[in-house]
Order: sequence, then structure tokens, then C-alpha cells
Amino acid sequence: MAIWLYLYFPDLYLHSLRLDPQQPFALLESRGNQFHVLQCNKVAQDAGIAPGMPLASALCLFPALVTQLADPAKYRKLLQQKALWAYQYSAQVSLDSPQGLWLEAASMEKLFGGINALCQQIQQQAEQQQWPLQLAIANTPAAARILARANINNTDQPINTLAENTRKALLPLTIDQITSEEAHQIELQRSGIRNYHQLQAIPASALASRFNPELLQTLLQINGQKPQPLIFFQPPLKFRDEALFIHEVEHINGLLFPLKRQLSTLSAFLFNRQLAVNYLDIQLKYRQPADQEIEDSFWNIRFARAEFRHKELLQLLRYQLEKRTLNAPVRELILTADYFIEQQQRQQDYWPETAYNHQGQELLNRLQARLQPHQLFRISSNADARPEYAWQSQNPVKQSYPQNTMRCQIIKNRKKI
Amino acid sequence: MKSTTAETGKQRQQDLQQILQHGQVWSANDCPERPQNVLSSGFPQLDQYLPGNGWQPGQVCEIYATPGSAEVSLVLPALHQLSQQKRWVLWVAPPAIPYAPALFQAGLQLEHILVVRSDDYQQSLWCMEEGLRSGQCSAVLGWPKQWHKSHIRRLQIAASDSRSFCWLWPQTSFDSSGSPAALRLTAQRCQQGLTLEFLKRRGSWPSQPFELPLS
Repeated sequence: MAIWLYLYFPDLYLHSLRLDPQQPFALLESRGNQFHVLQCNKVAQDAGIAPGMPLASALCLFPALVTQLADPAKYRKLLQQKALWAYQYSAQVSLDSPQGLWLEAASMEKLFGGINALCQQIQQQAEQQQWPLQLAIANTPAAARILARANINNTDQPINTLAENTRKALLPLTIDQITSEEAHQIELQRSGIRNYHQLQAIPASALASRFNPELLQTLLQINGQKPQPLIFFQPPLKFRDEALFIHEVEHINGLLFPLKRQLSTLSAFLFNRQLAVNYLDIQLKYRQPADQEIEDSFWNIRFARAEFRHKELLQLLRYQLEKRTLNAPVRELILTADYFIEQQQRQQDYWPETAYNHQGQELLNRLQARLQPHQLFRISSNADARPEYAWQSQNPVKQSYPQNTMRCQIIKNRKKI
Repeated sequence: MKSTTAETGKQRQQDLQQILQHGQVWSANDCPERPQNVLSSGFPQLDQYLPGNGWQPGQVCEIYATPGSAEVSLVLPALHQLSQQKRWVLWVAPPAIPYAPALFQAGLQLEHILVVRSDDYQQSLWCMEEGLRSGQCSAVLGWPKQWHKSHIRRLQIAASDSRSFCWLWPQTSFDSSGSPAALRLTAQRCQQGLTLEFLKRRGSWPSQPFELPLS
């Protein structure tokens, strides 16, 4: 039997901004030449502001409201970040824009010791990260989506009667919970159908003749009589995490807080794939004053040895950042890693020789992070009688990352984009 | 009358406690019973002068010498032994580039030598401390441009925590107000080799000058 798990992230965009919960905040979208509230936080809602309200009315209700214009391109990226996270729970993840995910759960039953345990684990993880999450399971993707959006959490119910439970749970739901298409809602309301129970009672042949064929298809997909085609998410082998700042960061130490969280995500990403990184890219977007343009900073951070541990990465970045300065207050921080190498086998550590080697690299990593490349070297001797040729300085690390020229090329291309 | 003697006794006790707490005097109780893992300096005569008959791990040694007076030769036999370990021998801010063929001839494993070039005192201090703290260096050699008691103390603590060897050649004049380093000596070039004088030896008294032939 197919089991589908739907994860619904209410107000995903809003929560991704990591706001101060005490501060009234609203995300805006522009419709025509007017701004409307798209999402708003609890403080703003308590003041009477609701999604869909024009900005002017919202400001009348709460003059201290902080607003930001939503960027539609961000939606998909945010959802992809969530899909990347969800990928650890299921190999088949499908995106449902703007703020939902489908997970195929039946094949994961044995791995996690039951669907209920899987759901519990997901919920705990989301709680730790402070993401509001509504989830539901059903025998069809469409039904799971409806239940999750209606916030009916059925994840603790037995799996063997899932189809029956799903049908029962759907019955009392209203039409606007069943379909989000406004045209369908109006069509059904005109016929006096208010909930799913009434809709169920109508035979399929009658539905086909009376209503829009698309609506019929939706209903059949809820029942499972018609399959719902889903496109599954393929995780890219590239790490990218963005942190947007509401309050611009003026001091370099202020960057360490978002970086700490980003590195912990990176560390989990690397651990899941048994990979390590030996360089990271940090892009900083600055506040743009009206009279001049400040270019973004691209910082390439290299390590002597590939690393995947969160603490060590943070330590290394801290040394690197001490050397650098900010050109202007920072608006956005983007951490990317796109070149990975395999993690070294941990078992090697049992041999004392390699263990020393491994440890020695750690010191090298730290020294390299703090010093300029020419400041750190090893020496070797040559068989040459002339003293000035009898020795040679060497790079302390074997080159295991692409050559300089190649990196420059990539960065140049990026700037063009 | 009795009460006053008791009071002065109490007062003295307090004063003594205060002095001990400030670490102004060295107490014989703190001396480790037997030095362990002592490394022979390679010069029998020098071994006799060194407490424990050799270089001791976890001790900072300050060597005051004019640059170019073969002052590194003093530790070359020790480095020969240390560089056989699969750990770094870190050279921080040497005034000249270490000459590889000479080191190779002295039997050092060159692949374990790591050199840091730095003109900045703070940076070189950081490198020395990081090297000592990491426990990934068998020895740290440093040529600090300045001398501060508190910084030497940091290095001494780092060295004793990680039980590594640390030799410093301060590029300053000798400060006679005392140092937290375990050993302090001066080295001067003479006909046969070096004239050494221990100005501080932990666990012993300062020595008279003596000649150490370098062969």
C-alpha cells in the first residue's frame, strides 16, 4: 500500500527570516500598483493585521509595523532547502510550491521502525529548528496534502486502516479546504455543496456531467482512483545556504551567529553524503547607498585538509574572518560549497601513524587559516653544491583543490550572472 | 602579651599565604618528584648542567645569544631525535631561513619541519601558542621580537599542558626581573664552541659560565 506523508510549512517565507518574535512584521506582495500583506507574524496578527490586507490599512492599525517586499524567486529556493532536509527521511521527495512537500513513506517504514516513528522524528527535528510544521499521512498524495493543510495530524493512527481513516477524516472538511482553486469553490458553492461528505455522495458519472472535468480529476486523485503524477526532487550536489538580515550586520563578529547555524546545516549535509569540503565560498551582499554602488564580496576560504565537523569548520572560519573587513553593512550572507571530496575512512585512526598525520593536518589547517600563503612553508634539500640552490621551500599542503586559474574563472562567470 | 604574639603569628601566616597566592616565590613542594621522558641534549657536558640530565618536555627554555653564533646547534641533536616522530617541528619567525642541507646533515627529518615567517610579534606568539596547545608539535622553536612576562607565562603553561619542547631565542636584551620560563641561559661564541651560563634552572641554582665544545 502506498503511504504518503505531506509536510506543510505554514508561512515558510516569514519564518525563514528569523525575526524577533516581539517585533510586528509583515511580508508584502505587490498587486498592480498597491502593496498587500502576504504573511505576517503573531504580534502583527494580534494587532488586527491579516494576510490580504492593503499596506495602508495595516499601517493605520499598527504604525510601527516593519515590512519587507517578498521576492518570488526566494519561494522555490526556500522550499528546496526544506526538500534537501527532508531528503534524509525519504528518497522520493516532491515539491509542492510554495510551501509543501510530499514524501513517499511506505518504503521507509522498516528503516525508521514504523511510519509513526518516522513522523515523530521529523516533528522533533522541526521543533528543534523552530520551524512551524503541519504533517499528515494518507494513502494518496492529494489526501495527505488536504489533511496537512487543514492541520489534521493523523500521524499517530494505525497504518493498517489508513485508507479508511483518511476517508473518515476528509468527510467533515469544507470545500475550500478540499480544493484551493477558487473557480472550483464557487462552482460547488453554487450547487449548494458545502463539504466533502456531500461531494462524496454524488456518483462519479453525475460529477462528470455536472462539473468541470478538472474538479472531477482532483476528486478521483483524492480517492486514489486516478494516479497523481509527481516530479521527484533530485538533490543537487551543491550546498547553498542564505541568511537574510533584517538588521544589517555592521561588524564581522555579527556574521558568526548566522554562520554557526549555516555550518551546522552544512555539516549535516556533508555527514549524510560522507563528504568533506576543503574550501567554502562566502558571498556578502551589502547595503546599497543611493549615490554609489558597492560590489558584493566574494570570499574564498580554503582549508589545508578537507573538513566536515561543525566545530572545526567554525573555528577555521573564525580565524579567516579575523583577517577581513566589511566594506559596508551586510544585508545578506550566502554560504556555498560546490567542490567536495570523500571523507577519509575513520577506521584509519586506529593506526597511530595515520592518526598523527591526521592530527598534524589540523594544526596546519589552523595556521593556514590565520597566515598568508607565503608565510607558511616547509623546506627540503636538493643535491646541489651551490648553497642557494641546495634548499627549496615547499607548500605545506599537497594541492587537492582546483588550480587558481580555474577558481578565478568560476568567480568571473558568477559575477556576470 | 600572649595575645599579641598570637596576633603577629596570624599576621605572618596571612602574609605568607598572600605571597604564595601571588606566585612570587617558588615553593619546593611544587617541584615534580622525578622528571620524566627527559631528552638527552646530545652534549654530555650540557646534560650534566641540565636539571634531570637533559631537556625536559613541557618546559620553556629561553636562550639569549647574538644571532649567528651557532645558537641553534645547541638543540640540533635533540631536534634530530624529535623530528623522527610523526609530528611537526614548528619554527616560528626565525631571523633567517633555516638552511635545509645543514639540518639534513644533522639528521633531521625535513618533512616534519614547518616554518612560519612572520614580522608581527602578536602573530608569531599566536602561532607558537597554537602549536604548543595543539599537541601536534614535538617541538616549537621561536624567535619572539618582544619579551613580555605574561606571554612567556602563557607559553610555559601551553608547553606544560601538552608536554612539548619549546625553545625560545628572544630577540631582546635579557630581562633580569625574572621569567616564568623553566630554563634561561646565555650563549656566546668562543674558540671551541659556545660559552654557556644558566641564569635560571628550575629545580637548581644558576650556574657558572662554562665552555661547551661544538664538534
